Parts: sequence; structure tokens; C-alpha cells
Amino acid sequence: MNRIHVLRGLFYPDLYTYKLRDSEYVPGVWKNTVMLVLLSGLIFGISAYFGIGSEYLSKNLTAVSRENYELQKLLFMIGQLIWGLFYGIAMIFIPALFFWTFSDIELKKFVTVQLYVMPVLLLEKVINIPLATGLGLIKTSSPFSLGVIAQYITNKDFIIYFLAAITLFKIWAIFIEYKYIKMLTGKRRGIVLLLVIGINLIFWLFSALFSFIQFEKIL
Amino acid sequence: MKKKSLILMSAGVLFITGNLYLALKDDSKAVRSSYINKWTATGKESLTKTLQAEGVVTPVEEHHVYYKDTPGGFKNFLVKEGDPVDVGSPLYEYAGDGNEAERDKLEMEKQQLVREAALIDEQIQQLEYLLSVSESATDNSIPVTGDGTSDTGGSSNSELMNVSIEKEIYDKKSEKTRIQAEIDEYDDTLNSQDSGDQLGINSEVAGTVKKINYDLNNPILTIISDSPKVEGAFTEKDLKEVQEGMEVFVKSDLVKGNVKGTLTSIASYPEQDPSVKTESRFPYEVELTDEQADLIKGTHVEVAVVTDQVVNAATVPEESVEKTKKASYVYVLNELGKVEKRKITKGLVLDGNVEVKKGAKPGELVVKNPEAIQKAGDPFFSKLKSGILDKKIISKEPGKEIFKSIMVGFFKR
Repeated sequence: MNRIHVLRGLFYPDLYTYKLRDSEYVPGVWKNTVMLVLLSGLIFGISAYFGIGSEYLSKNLTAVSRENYELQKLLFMIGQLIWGLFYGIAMIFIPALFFWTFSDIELKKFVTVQLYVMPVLLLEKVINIPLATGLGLIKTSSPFSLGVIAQYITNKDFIIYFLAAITLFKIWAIFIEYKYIKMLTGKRRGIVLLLVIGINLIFWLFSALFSFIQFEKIL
Repeated sequence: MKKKSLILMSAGVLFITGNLYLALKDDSKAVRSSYINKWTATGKESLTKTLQAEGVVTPVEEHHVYYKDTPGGFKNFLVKEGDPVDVGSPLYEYAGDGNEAERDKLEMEKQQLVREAALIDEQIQQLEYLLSVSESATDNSIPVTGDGTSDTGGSSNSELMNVSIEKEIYDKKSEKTRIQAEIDEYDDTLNSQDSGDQLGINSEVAGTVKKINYDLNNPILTIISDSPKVEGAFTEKDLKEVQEGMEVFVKSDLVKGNVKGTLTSIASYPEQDPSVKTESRFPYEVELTDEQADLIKGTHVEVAVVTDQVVNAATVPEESVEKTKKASYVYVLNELGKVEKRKITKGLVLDGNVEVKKGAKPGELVVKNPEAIQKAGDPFFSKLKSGILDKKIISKEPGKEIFKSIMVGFFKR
């Protein structure tokens, strides 16, 4: 009865918030966490297999051998796969720990909330694959993000990356987090919004920063 | 609540549609990365455009040998049909009989002249003797003149006699000169008849005897030269493209590889009387430059006329060229990691390859499927092709570099 049904919790937050709040024992949390983390790694790996995000390697194509170019792409894919695992863990535990510090409810319940958020984020990642291969709409030009508009209004890369990080899926995730956190903590609307938007804002800034820094030149 | 979500949904759809429009419209400001998996290096090769025709191997030239009627007449042939002949090989000979009779006659006439000359020599000797005698004994001897009359005059008489003898000697000498000239003439005639015998007998070309007319109707002999040529006919359409002097490759089932040749002549008149209903065909001839070619006369061959040729041309596959009404373009993957749209000047198109006269250099990478290009000037990415990789390449790469690359991949957003 109280098992986590990730997708159902995702689409019926009103019903599940009460369930989550009133239950004392939430079974299957860690199992689902592991599953989602692995799924995240897999999705990032698949995305990288198609070369999405590997544009920085393209200029090497004329300079190095074909084998070396492919090797670079393979290493990129491995990096992305590891990142996917890391991303899964980070996106589940960082917000959970963040919300947990502002309340006296057990961590497991916040982790459960993030398990409802994760599929939304991964769904976005999956949808981005055909958008990139089919229409050439990579992350910065995703029609779900503010990136397209950003590219029309500014030339500043950092701002473009930042706005591109804000997507309809993130808004959806914020909505889920807001619903659950408000119900779980019972805090006022303004404070919950501040907490939820605050933590996401930090993620967007980091995302923009990572896009902005050209690690291939630093490392 | 339902109304609220409907509004939200509509807003979302509107947002996505608007974004898609802005991102996908022409001259969009949004970056669009092209997913490219088919590219190829611009080649450097020689393109040869050929026109195919059919031909048949025929002897290059026929030489006719004519028979000249001579007093002696024909004797016999020295070759048979099918015999190979070289330059200078004897072909036939004249009969000797009648000729020798004439020679004998001439020889006899000559001999008579020789005898006459000898006689005159004798007479000159006698006269010279008389002259010396009359000069030494002027008084007590009676000189005898050439006509036998005796003269009893004194010293004036003997002087007169000496003069007449000298004149006689002079006359005889000039007669001898005349006879000698006549003998020389006979010698010349006889000599010229000797060499005249040889004319028309020896072959002037190397080849094979094709035909002999034993009834002695001219030409009595036909010799075909060994090096074959190829003959055929061009259609009216072909005629536009071919030109005399073009290089030709001849291919036969019986010979390995191609035999080179030159298109030596194209007839300006069709092989049959022109008719509206039938297509005219114009005969042509190909001379083979490769003398060693063992093309058997009479066999049918494929003829490829080189109508156009470019050496060391930059070539791209035809499918990589994007054509618009005005110009042709290729997409080059450049060293900046961008897709570069290049206007090209097309040259020869052959077997799916296009010569790029201007716009791409050999070695440059061009996109094979231009339809995959999202936006020219923007970056591109490609799928991992693990099949290209093997363990050697991975093991060759230093561990530090591998770690670095993975880290870059890890942080890459």
C-alpha cells in the first residue's frame, strides 16, 4: 500500500503527498534510488553514444586519425556515463538533504520526493536525444527551455547557458517538489517556494558554469 | 482546477511551438548542431570520361603490288598466300629467256665496237711508226703517204708528208673516242637492264601476304601489315563528343587489360546513304599505339574513347553535392569543428564522382549526406563508431590522457 509508485506519485501528487506524510514506513526507497541512479547513468551513456554534447571534439576530426577521434568519443561517453550516475545521486540527495536541514522530518521522506522528481529530469534527457539528432536542437536550443529566446536577446554565453538550463521539465520538477515539501513540512507557501526555487537556482547556475568552463582547455 | 491546468497546458504548448519556430526558422539565431555520420575526404584522382563504342580489329593498311609487263615476261611467285614477308623479301621474278636474247644482241654489238676500237688502235700505232721513220731519214728514203702516192721532193716534200701523217693520227684518235663513247652507252644499257630485273620483285612493307592473283591481273599481290587497327562506326549522338586525335582504350575478351590507341579518323559522311528513317552511322578508325598488342584481326572489341580527362582532380561523391538552380555546394567539416558551406565549381562528373575545380581541396572532409545538415556554420557531432576502435589504439594512449579525456567528458554539459 505504501510502496513507492514513482510514476503514480509523479502524476497524482495530491493523493501521494498525504500518503507520504501519513506513512511511517516507506518501503522500497533505496531499491528505487539505486534503480534511478543506474537508469540515469544509462540514459547519459546512450545520449553520449549518439555524440550529443561532443561537439568540442569535432575540431579534432581534421587533426587526428579517425581511430583517435573515435577513441576520444568513447572516453567522452565513459565520462558522461559516470556523470549520469553522479547526477542521479546528486539530484536525489542534494535537494533531499537541503530540505531536510530546514525541517524535522526524516530524510527518507525527502529522498522519496526526489524519486518522483528524477523521472521528470531523466525524461527530459531522453527527449533531448531525438531533438538533437533529428532537428539539431541541442541543449541550448531546446524548445522546452528559455535557451532559444536567450540566443535571440543576448550574445553572452553564460546567460544563454543559464536560461537554457531553465526548462518546462524543471518547472514541472519544481511544482512536484513544492507540492510535496509544502505538505510534508507544512511551512508557509513563500518559504517553501523560496527553498525549492533556491536549490534549483543553484543547480542552474552550476549547470551554466559547467557549460561555460571549457574543461577540455583546462584539463 | 481543470481550467487552470488547461491554461497551463495551452501556455506550455504555445511556449514550445514558439521556441520551435524561433529555433528552426531560416536564419535562426539559435545554434543547431548537425548529427553527421557520413563524411569522406575529398579525393585526388584522375577522372577519365569515355564514350563506349563497338569495333572490329582490321589490318591497318593493305599494300598492293603491281606487275609491270617486261620483254622477258612473268616467271613465278616466290611467296604463298598467308606467308609473312619482311621489307626486301622477294615476292616474284621475271622470266629470263627473252631478256637474255636482247642482252646477247646488245653484247654482240658492243663486242663489234670493241673490235673496231682495237683496229683503230693498231692503225694509230702504224701511223706513229711511219711518222718517226720519216723524221729520222729525210733524204735517203722515200716516204710513203697514207694514200700510197710517192713523192720525190726534197726536204720540203718530207715536211709536208709528216703533217699529213699527223692529221691522219688525229682523225683516227677522234674516231676511237666516238667508238669508246658508244661502248660506254652499251655498257650503261646492259647495266640498267640488270637492275631493271629487280624492280617490283621485293616487298616494300612487312606484313602478311593476303592475296595473290595468279591470273596476273593487277594488283597481283596484296600485303597486309602486321599492326592491326580498329574500325567501327559512331552514332550521330556520339559524333558530338568525339574528335580526331583522341586517346582510345580497346578492350577485348581475348586480351588482358586495355590496349591503347588513337582515334585517327572519323568519316564526315555516313556509311550508308542518309535516310530520315534510319540513324546515320559514321565510320571511324583507331590506330593502335601499342604495337605489341596481340589483337586478332576480325575479332570484335569494345572501344572506349577518352572524351575528357582531368589528372589529379579534387573529387567528391556526387551525393555530397547540394545543387540549387544557381550553384552547387558542398559541406566541409573544418578544423574549427564547424560545418562549412562551400560554393564549388563543378568539373567532370563520372561514375558518381564530381570533379571540384574550385571550392574544396583534396583531403578536406565533406559531408556525404547534405540533407543531414541542420545549419551551415554551426557545429556538428557524430555517433560513436566502436567498430573502428581496437585494443591497440586504446593501449597506446597514455593513462593520464585517458583519465583527462574522461574527466572532460564527465564535466561536459
